[in-house]
Amino acid sequence: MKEKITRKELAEEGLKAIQKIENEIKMENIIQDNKILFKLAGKTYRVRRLEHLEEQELEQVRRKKYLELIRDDSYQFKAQWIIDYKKKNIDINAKEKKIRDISFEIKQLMLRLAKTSNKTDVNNLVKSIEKLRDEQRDFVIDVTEKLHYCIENQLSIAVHSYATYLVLEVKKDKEWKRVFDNYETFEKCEDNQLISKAYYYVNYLMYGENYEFKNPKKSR
Amino acid sequence: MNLKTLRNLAKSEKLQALYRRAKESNLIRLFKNNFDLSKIQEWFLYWLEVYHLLYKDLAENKPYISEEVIQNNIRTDAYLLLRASGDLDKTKKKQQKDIDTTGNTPGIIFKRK
Repeated sequence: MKEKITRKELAEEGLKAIQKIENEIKMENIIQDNKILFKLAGKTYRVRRLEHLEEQELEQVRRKKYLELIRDDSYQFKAQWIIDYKKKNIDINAKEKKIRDISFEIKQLMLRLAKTSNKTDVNNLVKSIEKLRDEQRDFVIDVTEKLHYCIENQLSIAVHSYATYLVLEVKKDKEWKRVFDNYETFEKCEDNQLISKAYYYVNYLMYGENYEFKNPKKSR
Repeated sequence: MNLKTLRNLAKSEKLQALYRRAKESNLIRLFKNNFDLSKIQEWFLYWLEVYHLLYKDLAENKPYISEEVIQNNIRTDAYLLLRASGDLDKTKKKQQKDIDTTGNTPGIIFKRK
């Protein structure tokens, strides 16, 4: 019986190790160039950095979208949402303060952790820090979800979506061509796998590692 | 794939060696592109440099740094926080005070009771 458990544990460890290697290989592919290639349904796609003219085009889109949002009465700024939530006894400012307070608490524990090498102390401090980080993450998710429809957030989603349309290309006869002729076709596209992958990789090109993955399709 | 994977790569022996060589010679390239780095490439360079400094601190026997600390991301973050706070320099100065430099015999440490 004990041998079986050990084998199971070994298998799990092995699986984790393989997963780790696979993730590292994928990450190496992502960072080796400022273009990211991926295959889907037998076709080779790529996302790349924005060119200068495309950056200008994106700025125009941002400006137009911003005007559209502030002229639409069904959209509100973050500050307005916060006031509305307060009327319903949900205090976003207090939640944001809690996030900052937890950061301070984590910092204090980290400084203690840095100065110890005692195994028990290290384990206890790491556990406390992880617990606080989880608690903080819950607050962040809560606030982010509650403010999802604010103008600031909707604008960033719209811009990210347009950027993805601009830089998503497919390889045809050894040449790279934009997948969609225009943004309307991109918006109507029902190939969720392609669009999700493109968003995912554009995140890496434009925002790096710390950007929270957003799927603009959710907000449509 | 996440930050953890990026940091694992940045601290790996293979990529640290490549980074050291790339810093010394223009002939060795880390990426296919030389300019217009993507954000993830910028972050990767940041973590390569961070781990390069950590391994340097380790080689210089700086206080509170060890291989165990480098291999654990939370402990690494804690060490980096301490390093940035300037507390590490205070500890180093205190240690230097404890070293007798008046005689000809170098590096004798007198431990305080």
